Amino acid sequence: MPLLPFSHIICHPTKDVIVLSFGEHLQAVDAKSGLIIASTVELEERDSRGLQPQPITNTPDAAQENKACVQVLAFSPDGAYLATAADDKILKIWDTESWKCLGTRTLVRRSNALQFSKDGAHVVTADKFGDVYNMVRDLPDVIPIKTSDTKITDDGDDDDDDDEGEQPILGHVSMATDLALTKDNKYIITSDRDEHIRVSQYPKGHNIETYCLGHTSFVTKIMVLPGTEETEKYLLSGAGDATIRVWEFLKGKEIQTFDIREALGLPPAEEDAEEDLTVFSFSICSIKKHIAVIMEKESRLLILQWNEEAAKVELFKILELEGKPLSVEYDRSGNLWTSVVPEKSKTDLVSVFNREYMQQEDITKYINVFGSKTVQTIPDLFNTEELRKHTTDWRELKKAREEKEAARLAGDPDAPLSKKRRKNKNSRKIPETTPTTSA
Amino acid sequence: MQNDMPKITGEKRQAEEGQMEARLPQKKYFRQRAHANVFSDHHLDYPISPAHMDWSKNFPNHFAPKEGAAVDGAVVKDSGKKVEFADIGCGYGGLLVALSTVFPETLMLGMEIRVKVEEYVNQKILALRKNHPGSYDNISILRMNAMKFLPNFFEKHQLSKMFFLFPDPHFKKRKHKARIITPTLLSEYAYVLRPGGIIYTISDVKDLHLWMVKHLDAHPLFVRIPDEELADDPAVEHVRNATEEGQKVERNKGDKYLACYRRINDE
Repeated sequence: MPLLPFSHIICHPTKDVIVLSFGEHLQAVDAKSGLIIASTVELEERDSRGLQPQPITNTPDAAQENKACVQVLAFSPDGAYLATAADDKILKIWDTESWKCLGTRTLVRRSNALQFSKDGAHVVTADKFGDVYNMVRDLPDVIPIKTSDTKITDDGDDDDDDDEGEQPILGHVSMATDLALTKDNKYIITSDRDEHIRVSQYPKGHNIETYCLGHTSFVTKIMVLPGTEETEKYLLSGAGDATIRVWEFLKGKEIQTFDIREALGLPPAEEDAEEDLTVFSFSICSIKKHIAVIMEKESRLLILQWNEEAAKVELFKILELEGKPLSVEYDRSGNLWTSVVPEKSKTDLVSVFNREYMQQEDITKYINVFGSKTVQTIPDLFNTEELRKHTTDWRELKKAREEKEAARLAGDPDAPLSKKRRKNKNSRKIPETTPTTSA
Repeated sequence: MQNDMPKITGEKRQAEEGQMEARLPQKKYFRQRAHANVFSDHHLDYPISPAHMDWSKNFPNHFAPKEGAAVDGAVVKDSGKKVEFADIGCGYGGLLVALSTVFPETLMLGMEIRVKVEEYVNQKILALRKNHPGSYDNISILRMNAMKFLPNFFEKHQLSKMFFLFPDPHFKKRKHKARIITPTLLSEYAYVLRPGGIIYTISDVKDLHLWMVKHLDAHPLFVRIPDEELADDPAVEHVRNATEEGQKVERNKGDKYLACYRRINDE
C-alpha cells in the first residue's frame, strides 16, 4: 500500500524546523537531522508512546480522512505560532514549542491562503469565495465567525448572514488563490482565479492601491521578493498560463514575463488550448536569491536566479524529481525541500537538495520511511481543476474523473476519461465495451 | 421609451441624401429574463488590462483602432478622451441615450450581462448615430460582468460617475452576495471612481434601497449627497425617469428611492 504524500512543506522562520502536512496530519521535523520532533499522528493516535518511529497503518477509508485535509499553513514571523486551515474550514493555531493546539475557529469558507500579519497579531485568510478576513491571532476557543451548521448548496453558496460575525477587509468576486503581506505591514496583495492581482492597503483593504494585470489565466502563487528594501518592491507571481511574472507591485507595473515552456524547451501552447502548464508553487531562497518553481504534474523543477542589476529572473538550473511535485520550500540554510507524488515503485516522498543542488539522502531517509502513513490509494492532490475556465463545467470534468477512478478501482484500468479528455488523447485505445458514463 | 424615437422629417431625409432612416430595433425581439448568475463563467471578452483595451469599436469617432487599418470614416487619432461615466447593468440603455445629449463631450459606457439586451442597445445606438450624424458617438455598451472585470477596463480614478439604476434586488438572503452593491465591491468602485466622483443608486424596492444605503453609509470612501444638492445635478432627473424600469415604476405609480454618494478620500 502506498504512503500518503506530503502536500505541504513549510520552514520555521527562526529555527531549523520543517513542518510537513499529509492529509489532515502535521509532522514537525528537525531540518538538520530529519528526525521527527512532533506529529499529530503521534499526539492523536499514538498518545504518548514516545517518539518510537514506526509506520502507522490504521487508516480509515481515504474519503473520510480527506475531509479535513490541511490546505494552508503559515508560521508567525517570530516562529512562535503555526496556523493551519483544512478542508473542513477549521483554522487552528499551534504553539511551536509545545506543539499544542491553542485554539480553533470555524471559517466561513474554505481558506485558500493564510498568512500572519507581520507583527504576528493577526491571521489573514483568503477564501474560495474571494473574501479576505483579518482575525486576531489569539483565537477565542469557542466562538466561531459563524457556525457551519447551514446547508451548503451545490454551487457552494453558503447561507450566510450578512450582519453577523466578522466582516472581510476586502473581497474578490472570484475565488481567491493566494495572498501576501509586505514586510512593513502596510499592504496586502491578493490574487484570484480571474487573472487579477490586487494591491490594497493593510488592514484598511478598502483602499485599493492598484492592480497587477497581465496574467492570462488563474494566478496560483504570489510572493514578495524577500531580502532588502530594494528587492521588496518586487512581487513574483505564477499562474496557469505557464509564466512567472515579476512586478513592481506598488506601481502595478509588469517588468518581466518568464516563459516556462521556453525554459523547458517545450513548444508554445496551442492556440485555444484549454490547459497549459500551471505553476503550482514556488519558494524563494533569500540567501542565494534563487526561486524554485514547480509546475503541476511536471517532474522537472526550475531553479531561477534573481539578477539584482537587471531586476529580472533568469534560468539557473533544471532539477529532475522522482514524481509529480506537490510542494517546494527552501529552509533557513538554503537547502531545498521537495515533496512529490512518487512514480510507481519509488517510495521517496521527500527529497532535499543542498545549496549546490546535490541530493541529501541522509536527511530524508527517516521521513521517507516513517514520516507518513499508508493509504489504500493516493487521492488526487492537485487542485487546480476548479480554477481553470473550461468550456465544460469543471464539476462535470471532476465527476468524469471520479467515475473513471471508481472504474479503475473496480478493476477496469482502461476506463475512458471524460469525453473531452478522450478527444485530446487520440492515440489512446478506447475499449470496445465502454462502461456507461453519465453525460 | 417612445420619446426616444427620433421624429422623421422630410428635411432630415433630404439631408441624408436619400438614405433610408435607420430603423430602431424593437425591444420585443430582445427580451431576456431579468436575472443572470454573476458568479458563473460567462463567455466574456475582456482586455488583460485597460491599456490593452481597443475602444475604437465602441467609440469609432474617439479612438483609432489599436491594430490594423481604420474602418472607413473612423478617426485615425485618439481624441484623448476616456470613458468617464459607467452605467452598471444599463439594461435597455435609456439612461445612456438621455445623458448622451446632456453631456455631449463625455464618453459613457453601459455594461450589461445579458446578451440580447446588449445586442438591442448596440443596434439602437448605431441607428441613433446614423439618424443623427454627429450625435450619440459618446455612448456605447459592452456585454460584461462588472462585478468581476471593472479594473480590466478602467484605470484608477478614471470615472467621474457610476450609475446603479434599478438593480436586480436578489431578494433571498443567500443571494445577497450577488447584489451589485456590497461592502467589498464598493471598494472596487471607489478604485475606478475619482475622488469627488458620484455613485447614483435608485430602486423601487425599499429593502434593496435600504441595503445600498446601509453599505454606502458604512463605507469609509463614500459620503451621501444631501437631497438639496442633488436638485442642481442634471443627471438626477434622467436617473429617475430615463430607464425602462423607471418608467414602468412611474406607470405603476410605485415609489422610487434615490441615494447618491460622493467618493471621498480616506481620512
